[in-house]
Amino acid sequence: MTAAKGKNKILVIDDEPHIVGYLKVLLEDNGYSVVSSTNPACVIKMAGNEKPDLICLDIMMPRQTGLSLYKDIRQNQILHNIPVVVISAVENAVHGFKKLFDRLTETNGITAPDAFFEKPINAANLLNFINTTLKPNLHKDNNTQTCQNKQ
Amino acid sequence: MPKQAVVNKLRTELFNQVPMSIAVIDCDNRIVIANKEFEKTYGDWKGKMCHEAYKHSAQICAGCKAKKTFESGKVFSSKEQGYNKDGKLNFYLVRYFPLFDDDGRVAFVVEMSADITEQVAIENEYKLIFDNVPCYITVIDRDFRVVKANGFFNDKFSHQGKTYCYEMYKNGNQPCEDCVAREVFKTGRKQRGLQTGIDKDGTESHYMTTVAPLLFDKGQVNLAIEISQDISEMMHLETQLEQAMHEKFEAERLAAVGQTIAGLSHTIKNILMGLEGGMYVVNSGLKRKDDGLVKQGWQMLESDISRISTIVKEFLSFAKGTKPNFTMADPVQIANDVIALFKVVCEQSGIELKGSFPMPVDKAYLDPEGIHTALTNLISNAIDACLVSDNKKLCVTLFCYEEDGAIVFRIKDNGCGMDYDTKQKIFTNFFTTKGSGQGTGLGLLMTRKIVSQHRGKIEVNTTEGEGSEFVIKFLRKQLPKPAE
Repeated sequence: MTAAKGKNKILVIDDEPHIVGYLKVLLEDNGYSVVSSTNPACVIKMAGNEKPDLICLDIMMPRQTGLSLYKDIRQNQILHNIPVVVISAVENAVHGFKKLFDRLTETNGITAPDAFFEKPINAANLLNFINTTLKPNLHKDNNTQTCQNKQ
Repeated sequence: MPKQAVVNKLRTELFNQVPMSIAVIDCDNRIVIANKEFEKTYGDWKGKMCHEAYKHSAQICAGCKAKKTFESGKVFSSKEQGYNKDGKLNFYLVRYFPLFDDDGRVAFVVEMSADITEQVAIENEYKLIFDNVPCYITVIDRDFRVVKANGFFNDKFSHQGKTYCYEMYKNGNQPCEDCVAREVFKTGRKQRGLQTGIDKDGTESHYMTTVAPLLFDKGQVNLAIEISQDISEMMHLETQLEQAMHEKFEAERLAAVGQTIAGLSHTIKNILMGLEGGMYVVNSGLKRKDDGLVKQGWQMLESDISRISTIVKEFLSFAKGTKPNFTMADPVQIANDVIALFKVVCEQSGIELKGSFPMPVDKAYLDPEGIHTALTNLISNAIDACLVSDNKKLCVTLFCYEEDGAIVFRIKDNGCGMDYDTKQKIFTNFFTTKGSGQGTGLGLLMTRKIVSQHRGKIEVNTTEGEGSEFVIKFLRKQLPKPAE
């Protein structure tokens, strides 16, 4: 599961190259290995090859929406258990998407994403969540330190 | 045959063959002789009084002209109405002249009458039309003096003491500068023109005037007839319609601004995150002493600031409702300019860009800058659609031609096309499929606005995977007019 040199690997998917660039540096600064894509069409194949420990996914990307990509991830035999963090610029995204995914869980049995973050993200909260999810034993000590650049 | 016999025979024949009724009456108004035409029209006359034969009346006519001829020996004429032998009303024109005896006294009076029943019917019909047709009709002479006017005109414009056309129609004191009749008197040809007058109540009225020559004399028009159709109500309705359209457009614009703000916030959130990200990456680069990372962060900041600038400019341009600048412009020239603009980009991207102008298109009253913007938006979209397409030979064509009285611009590409959902949303605010910081979502909205300002139509035909076609049509007769 883990990447080279023992780092957790995170897959970042967003159609905005700048946001991908930002998350890549942010996560690398905080001890993660990052793979990324701005093209949702090739994500499933890429995720299958890279086997990330966590996926950061933008919802409301053009052409293939993040929602259908999310469904594909959850229905993929290899990827379905990987934690997914949904990031979106949609107005009231956290509340709106929770309801949407609740319905999806009811109708298709697809489990909801592990967390929602609205753009512009609060980097400290995002890192806190990722640290808690991927490094449950370390996150208490690291939280304050990892966010210094953002603050 | 002796000469006198010939003369006598001629007199008899003339008396009977002339196409007029002739009766000779004595001083008691009794008919002493009548010709065949008289008998044919009024029946048996023998022993009858003049008024019995002509009018089926036992009483002598009031103001009898024959009596006056007997008294004065002078010739008189009158227009009469009576009944023919079948009891049918008829009209006739009578000339009364005396036959003197050797002593110079009037012995008999000859009544020579011509049947004018048909003319009177036509005249009545004409008068009825003249007075009741819902148009203002006047007959004017070369000095613009009104010599005849119909009831409709008199009710609306006739002033006591006013004699000239321009006085009555416009309350003016000299012939109008844009006088339509002047041209008719000058050229002898029918003319038309839109006029604005003031009726006798002081209300402004608008009418379309047609002036035609009525009477020629020695090669010049002496009388002309002016027929004016009141279009005040129509113009009033048109103004109301314009106002309603303007209000509707404003309401749509305000609604669009509201929706746009919602859409804008989505875009701004992405930009904000990009800016925050840029700052983070710069800081991270400085901390790591990594120039490459600093450069990357700086580029992120520059790009997002530039994006904010573009969006704010386009948003303001859309929101403030730029007024179009209409002028006579060549549609093909505008299309050519747009083609030239994209030539290099297309060459570099491997897209064939073609202009198809199969015929010259007459100049029209357009907003050239607006049309240029609309075509630029559509060509730019077509190129973008090609760039994400798998089709091997990519092509964008701009057609410009005239069809059924409409100027047509058609933009066709064989790019990625659109699915049903996308097609439904393309003219809505801030809808964009260009995720990577490229589109503002305002292009097609602005295009539709420009088309609407020209009272035109825009349609889209598209097939996913095969391409799209946008068709803009401007009906010439619906384009704004220079005077508006």
